[in-house]
Amino acid sequence: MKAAAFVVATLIAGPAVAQTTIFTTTDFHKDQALWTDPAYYRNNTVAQLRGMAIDFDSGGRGTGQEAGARAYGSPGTGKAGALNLATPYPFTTAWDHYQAWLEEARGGTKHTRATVPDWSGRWAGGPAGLTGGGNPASYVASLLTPKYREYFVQEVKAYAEGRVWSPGAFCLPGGFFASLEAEEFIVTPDRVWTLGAGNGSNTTRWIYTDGSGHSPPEAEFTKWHGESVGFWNGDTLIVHTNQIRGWKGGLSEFTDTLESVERYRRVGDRIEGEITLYDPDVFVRPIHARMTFELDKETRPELRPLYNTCTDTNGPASKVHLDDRGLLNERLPGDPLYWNAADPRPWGTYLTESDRRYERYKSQRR
Amino acid sequence: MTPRVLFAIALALAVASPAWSHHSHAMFDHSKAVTMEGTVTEFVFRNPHVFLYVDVKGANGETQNYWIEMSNIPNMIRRGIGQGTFKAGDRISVELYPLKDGRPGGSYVTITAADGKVYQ
Repeated sequence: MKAAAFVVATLIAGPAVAQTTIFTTTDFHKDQALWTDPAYYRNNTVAQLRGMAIDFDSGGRGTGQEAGARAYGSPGTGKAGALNLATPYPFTTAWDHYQAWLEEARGGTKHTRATVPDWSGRWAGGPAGLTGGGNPASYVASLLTPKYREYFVQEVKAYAEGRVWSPGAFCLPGGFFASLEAEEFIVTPDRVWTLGAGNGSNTTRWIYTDGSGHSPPEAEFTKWHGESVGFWNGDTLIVHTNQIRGWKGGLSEFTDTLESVERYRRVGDRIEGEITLYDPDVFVRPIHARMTFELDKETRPELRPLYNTCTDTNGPASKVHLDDRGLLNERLPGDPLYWNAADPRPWGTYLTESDRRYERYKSQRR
Repeated sequence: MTPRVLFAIALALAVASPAWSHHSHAMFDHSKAVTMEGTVTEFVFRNPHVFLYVDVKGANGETQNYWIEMSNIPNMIRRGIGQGTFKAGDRISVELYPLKDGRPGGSYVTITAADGKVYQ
């Protein structure tokens, strides 16, 4: 009797419907309720999703990315809480955070050339987990406000399909988060410089520890690496950065309201630090990550940092071009290949158009 | 480079976004590596990508100049490839992932130099 009831119930219910995933959805915009569900991403981490690159012409069998390549749609190994990115601090603004630490340091330590910490040498490292990498994509999505959660899902979906937008691909600046991967720290009593050298760009930060403070409000403007001031608490450097130009990097894209508080201290052959990020438009609560830099004692001369420019092999921006008359000219709005420097979300423009073309391309190939 | 630094770099790469990667390699067909022989016409040893240009004679007897993308300079140096490793006129063999769109180009996997040395 029970068996008969089960058969009847099964017939009424019909075949089980597989859950929609980021790999099967026909319109991810409608999947809001699933965006924080690990199953939506088949439990993949952000890095694992980025490691996929569907080859549509091979029926999804091919993979593309050179590092961590894996088959499109394959199940991941994400572990909830692999890296806790929630701030341990009670502050709601970066400035309150910075002021509290300044008060704790009783106004800060005034160093001389004789007492300033020795951070010489070349270092390798940066923030841990701020790109979302090892965390389940669902966890990263849960850290973001609805609007930026949607942007995040759109981007990881596109990445998994090999439709990547990166600033470097267009020789654009990497933004604030690129500047956090310093390779050298030049420490003086009044100022600290951090230097980084990517293969397509270089980064520099100026951190003013002379007590001069930030620019007056009427003179503020957003900058790629923001404006940084700091103080010393003994041998620990504390930094506040504001006026950061909204861009993409870290967990997601971010706005002009992003501010950070960093803390660095040398411990043997390491510089250990942390960063807390405040951007209420983007994060549901402030984000916190550890930063670690290891001293590289054996740098070969031929592997020293270099000045690099992305355009060296990638060429100039497509906006400037040789026109039909043989004159150097600029593309204007509406011209093919026009680059809109005022577009605050060029990747969004790309992804939206890419979504449209990609769906059309797939429908034509079916 | 110390093992600790190598570990730190490996860790950073493991958690990093493709920001360190100049662009997606989705334009290359990684499902089939092809090998071709040809003559180097130019070797551009520059960041962010090193490029090799090779004349390859096709089955129809026509020669096509292949554009071959390599990695960045530090990676090349670590693999033993320097500015003078390949010169115009060298006969080489290249294993590459071809461009999906059929144009003559690809992402290198290995290169066998004129003296038989294999570079990865």
